[in-house]
Amino acid sequence: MQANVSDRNVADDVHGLADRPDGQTLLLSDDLAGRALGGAVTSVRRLTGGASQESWYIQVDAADAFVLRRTPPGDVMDRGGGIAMQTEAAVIRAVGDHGVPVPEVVHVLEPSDELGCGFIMRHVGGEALGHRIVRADSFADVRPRLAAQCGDILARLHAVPLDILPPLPRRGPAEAVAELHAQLRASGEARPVFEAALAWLHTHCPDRTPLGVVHGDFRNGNLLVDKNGVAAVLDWEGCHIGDPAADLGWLCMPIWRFGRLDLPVGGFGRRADLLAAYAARRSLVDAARLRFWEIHGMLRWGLTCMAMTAAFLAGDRSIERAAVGRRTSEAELELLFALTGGAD
Amino acid sequence: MLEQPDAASLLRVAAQSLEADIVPQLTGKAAYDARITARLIAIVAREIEDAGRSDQVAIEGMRKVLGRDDGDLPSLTRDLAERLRAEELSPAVPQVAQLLWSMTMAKLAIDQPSFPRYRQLRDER
Repeated sequence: MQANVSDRNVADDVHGLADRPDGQTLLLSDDLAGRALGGAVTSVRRLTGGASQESWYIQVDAADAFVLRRTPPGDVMDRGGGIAMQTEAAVIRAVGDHGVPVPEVVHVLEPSDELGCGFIMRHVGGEALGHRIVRADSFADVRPRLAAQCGDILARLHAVPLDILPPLPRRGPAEAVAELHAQLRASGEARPVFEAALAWLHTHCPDRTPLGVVHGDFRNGNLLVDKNGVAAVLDWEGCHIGDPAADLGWLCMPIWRFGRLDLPVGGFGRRADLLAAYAARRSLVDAARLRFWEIHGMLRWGLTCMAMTAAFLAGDRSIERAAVGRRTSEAELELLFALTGGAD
Repeated sequence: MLEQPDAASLLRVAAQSLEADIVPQLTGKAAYDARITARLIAIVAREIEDAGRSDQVAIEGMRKVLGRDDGDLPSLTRDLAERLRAEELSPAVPQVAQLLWSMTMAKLAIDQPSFPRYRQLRDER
């Protein structure tokens, strides 16, 4: 199973709203707009993003705003092993009913809509760019509260009963390590630091952990933040059933601290605040289990970068893939730091 | 013998020009792509300036740890990776950790010298 390699996840600087220069437009019928969006489409704009997945900003009656995410009709969906879009929509709705802040899904695309596979959400205002969340003066007041909010949100998510969710892939710690093992072997690459990390993961794999719904990519970069804090959690395509501590570990990885290594939670907060809020609503999480998932996450990230190089060499010669491929060494450094007792 | 400025100097000035003069005149995807391009050019400049030195240090270091007096970079790296996989070697051993640090820090010096962890550790070590 491949690591989640959507362009948004691996891009160094995720670019925000921008117009597509090719004049591409979205053919959304008046009937659909009336039924699903409650009015007439007044403007449509493509948002920049991944190659096979499109995001469109839709304005209705010059007032309400929506976001369509889809794979266009006829395109081959490449979600890098993630869940199907209809499943993602069902997950968003289900967790939204259990107190997790998410965008409201107003319509799931049907074949008769002739727009491909995907769904339409009500637009949520806020900032999603990680480096702005970490650095902008406008968030100075809310930053100290974000780690605790994340802990509370994850506690709510991990408490969502599995029986109200659509069928999701199951991936506990052992499967998660096996997945990385298989990826490294399949690559055929000689990677001393990655081998050391993999050996560590095999040795330190927790053998019995609770199972719950895991976001799978919960990090600064997938959070929409406004002046009150986290307004919505985005990008649920990595959602699966697994060890909930995986979400806590992923959130604390050094690569999404946007320069603030001293603030382990997303570059905006402290572990103590994250874990205290999580414990208040749910449970304590032991340090060893958290460390396992942080190291697993870092190896997963490193293998994702390495896969970008392979894709480039196989013919997809984008500068983005080349640049991310060169960042594989960053993951090696973080892994070496963690494996030799480095901590923050 | 080619003219000056030399290759690395040309690349450095090209990267600086992109970053300082061209990127500010662009928006959206064009600015994004130009910034990445500047980064890639800077990597190449550093690689040229390295002139194979870090590879040589890695080769010597690996031969010492692996107890070999031969082997090129790919075969030594494969050997090291295999021994770490089999847990015959481990970063818990100071000599092994030192080798892995040296090789990895050398990579970052070329790939991304402004990487926060690299800067933190370079100042400490």
